[in-house]
Amino acid sequence: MIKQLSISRRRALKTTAAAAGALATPYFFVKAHAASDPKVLRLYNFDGTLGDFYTEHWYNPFRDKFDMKLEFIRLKGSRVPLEKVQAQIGAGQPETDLFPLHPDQLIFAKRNNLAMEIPRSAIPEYDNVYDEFISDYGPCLVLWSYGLAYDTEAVSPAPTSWKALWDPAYAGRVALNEALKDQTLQMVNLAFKGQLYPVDDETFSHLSDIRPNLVALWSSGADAEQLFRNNEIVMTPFWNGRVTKLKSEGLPLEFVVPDEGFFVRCSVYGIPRNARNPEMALEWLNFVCGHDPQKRMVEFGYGTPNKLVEHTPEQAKAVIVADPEVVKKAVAEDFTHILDNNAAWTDMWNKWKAS
Amino acid sequence: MSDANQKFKAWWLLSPTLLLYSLTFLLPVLLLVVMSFAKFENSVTEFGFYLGNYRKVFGDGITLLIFWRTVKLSVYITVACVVLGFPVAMVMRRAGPRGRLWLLFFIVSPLLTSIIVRNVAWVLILGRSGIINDTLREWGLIASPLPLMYNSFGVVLAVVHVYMSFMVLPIYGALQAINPSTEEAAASLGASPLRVFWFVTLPQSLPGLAAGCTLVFILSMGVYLTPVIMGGNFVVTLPMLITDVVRNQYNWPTASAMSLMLLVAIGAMVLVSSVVQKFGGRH
Amino acid sequence: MSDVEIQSAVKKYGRFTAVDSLDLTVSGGEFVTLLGPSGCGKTTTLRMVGGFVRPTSGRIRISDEDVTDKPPQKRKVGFVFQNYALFPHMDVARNVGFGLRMANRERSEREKRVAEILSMVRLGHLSDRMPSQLSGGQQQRVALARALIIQPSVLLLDEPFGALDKQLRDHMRVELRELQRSLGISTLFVTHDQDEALSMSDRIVVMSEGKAAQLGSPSEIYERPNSKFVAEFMGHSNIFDCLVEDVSKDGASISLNGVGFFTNSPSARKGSRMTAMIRPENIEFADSGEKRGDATVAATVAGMEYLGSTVQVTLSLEAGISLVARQTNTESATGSKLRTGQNVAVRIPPEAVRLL
Repeated sequence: MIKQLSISRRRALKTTAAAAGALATPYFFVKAHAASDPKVLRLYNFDGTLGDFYTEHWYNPFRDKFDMKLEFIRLKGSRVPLEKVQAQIGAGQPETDLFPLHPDQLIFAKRNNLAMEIPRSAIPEYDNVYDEFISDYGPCLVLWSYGLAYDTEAVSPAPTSWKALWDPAYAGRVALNEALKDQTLQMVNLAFKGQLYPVDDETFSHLSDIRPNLVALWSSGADAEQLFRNNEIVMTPFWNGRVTKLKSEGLPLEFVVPDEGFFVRCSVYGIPRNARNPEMALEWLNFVCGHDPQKRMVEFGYGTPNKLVEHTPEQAKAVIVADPEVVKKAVAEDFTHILDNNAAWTDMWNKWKAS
Repeated sequence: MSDANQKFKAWWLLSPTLLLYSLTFLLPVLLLVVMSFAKFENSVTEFGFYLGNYRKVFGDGITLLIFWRTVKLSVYITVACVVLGFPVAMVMRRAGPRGRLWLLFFIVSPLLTSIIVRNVAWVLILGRSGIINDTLREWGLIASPLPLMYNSFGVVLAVVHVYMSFMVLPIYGALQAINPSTEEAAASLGASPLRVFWFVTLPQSLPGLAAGCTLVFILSMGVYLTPVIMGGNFVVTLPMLITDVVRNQYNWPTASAMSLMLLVAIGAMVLVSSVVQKFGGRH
Repeated sequence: MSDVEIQSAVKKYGRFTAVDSLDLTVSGGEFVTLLGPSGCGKTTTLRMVGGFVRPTSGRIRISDEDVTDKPPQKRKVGFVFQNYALFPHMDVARNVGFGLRMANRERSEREKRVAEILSMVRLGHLSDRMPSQLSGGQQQRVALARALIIQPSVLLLDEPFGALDKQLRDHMRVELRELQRSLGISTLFVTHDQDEALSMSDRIVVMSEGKAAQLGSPSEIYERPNSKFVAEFMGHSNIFDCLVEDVSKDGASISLNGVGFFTNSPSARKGSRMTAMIRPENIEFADSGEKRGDATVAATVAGMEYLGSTVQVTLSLEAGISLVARQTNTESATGSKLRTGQNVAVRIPPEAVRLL
């Protein structure tokens, strides 16, 4: 994710160039390049272990089954640069045939007509997927939980509330999430108001209270991981997937679902408008919704929308969302509200940081 | 007539560069201007002549503040580069060819390493359990770790480390152009080493100093990744804000207005610097 | 009381010895020149006096004070550099006034004295010019004025005319010498140009490989060089190895590759190998056919060089000896009527031959 930022600057430049191209390049020039090969599928892949997982269990088996050629664009982190993809779609040619969209990105995509609508009938495997994970633009595929991660050697007793982050015992040993500041702000509200909205002055007064505890605001999972590894912090709101990975590497970390509630998000895998090979993209969506790829996902530590996949007790604990009791604690985020208030929240957030 | 002809021919030589620049710089800037007057509402961009983006940039009470803080940070970085870089340039000037090569290598080496490697190294040095804090604690000099990073200090230090060469090399170039006899003359006329520096060496190195300051200041105004890592995101620069507006709000119009603000500020700095270089050398 | 005293000064750079135990005293408004080819250590010696080079051993005294360990700014020397080293960012007045400013003198005093010294070097009207706007000669005078304004104990000049064209150089030579005399300031002057040294100096130190090869007045150095090196460096062309065959109270007979000459040079020792120098201007041409005993030698004119006031004749003697003669270029002089290839008889008087 650190690297993602460095890329994204170049990407921003490229986007400008792409937009310039969109204005300057005659239409037919773009069209000439859009000639598509039905045996080629263009995809984003993530870096790190999740990317390796995809390659092994979601991409290669599909490639072998359909005798395809896959072309990857590697992302640093998990966020597709939608601001760039928008320009590409406008110019008539997105760089991939599929894109994972975070919930707020999905709404943005909807508003700007960036994704193809996918009727339920187009994906037979939908029969085995829970309804709440099927959107008009594709299935919700990567389920991740956002709770509290802490260092078991430095924090005791085990925290049960988000408010533990405010504990003066951890002065200078806590970090918050800058990358998804909307989630951070909702978390503050959840801890002190018992509800997610509105984000207002009161929210920020609680943030000011936590200031003595804060070392840094991290902007990527890799950042947060480094903070733990370098013994800079003992506690931060975090994703379950990375905690599972760090635990397996021997770090004394634990993930808890606080009493006030926690966050579950998933990414919709959609097909960009003007994609070159939508037929095979649909085929791939159908393939990954199936039992085998989803079973692998659970083994890897992420939740699944597939009804048929069964969990061992250890798996259930790791993926968090397998336990209905725990799932009840998941809060219902209003992503339209988040998207529309992002600018205002960012201003308030920056003012808070500057104060 | 033939003079004018000559000039015309010389301009011709520039045409490939001009073409490249119009494609990679002028056109995008033009696009940026057009975009900055577009309207972004409900996630949708509408082109037109809309002043809301500029109203926001100058009136939201935070963009301007971040802009000024970016300027302030760049000034700190530039000053630190001058204070640390000038002596290095002086030593380089006096050093033999081999010593000069080593110094050059040390000064330029940060540019040859990736920003990630560099910043991870800084964490190992400046962090809570970094070399400095651990050593000081072992010696019993401090009870709790010093906050050496995740603040402006860490950002300035890490940026100075990288951009030092942009200060040292122009100053070194200017120092090389100084006739050492002028300094000896000053000494024989009764000037102490400090006064030789102040009255003779420094004024003659002004063009290099101005060039170095301009380069470092401009580069610092665009600094973006280092504050994220070294400043723990608490030190916000305008480029960070612009990136956030594009990446998380998809708001090209507002980001364009902000970018133009940055561009104009940098242009102003280049103008000031060229005036200084023009008249400073003649002083 | 001496203004400058160099005592057994040695300067080594690694294995290379630039200056090798040099002794020199300059006093009483004397104009002393360090003369020698490049690399002979003359500039290093000057820079040791100026304080820019620290001697490896030996002492430097200025106004009877040991300044060996003192930096330049504490020596009160006026140094004029080869390329003048004017401060390019200061106008003429500020350049000249720099030394007074460093001595923290009042502005009014500074301005008065700058004006005085500028009028002395006839530059009063250029005080607000920048160095880049001045001609070479003007820059030279500014450099001189700048060095003199601090009323130094000694003036040190490092090839100050090197960058000037010939006419200006001759002119500045006179001007500098007059100024120096009127101020009565002891001066140490470095040059590689023997004409400059001969015309300006009270005394000359000819340097070779870091050592003083000869020290003396210009006429001593020119007329009685003490070594082949000095003789050659002073521009003498007729220098030969010879054998002293016989010594009498009037002089000595010497043999150059079997050709015999007579000399009244006093230093001859019978049977020794020595260096002989024959002064070109003392060589006489006998009328053709006329023979005047042993003193006349047969020769062939190998070349003629017209030098304006003189004519230089290259003569080829037997036994492969080549001799240069110089004749004043007058209507009556025999030498000016010679032709290349002509056989002549030349007379070499005993006083023309010097043994070194």
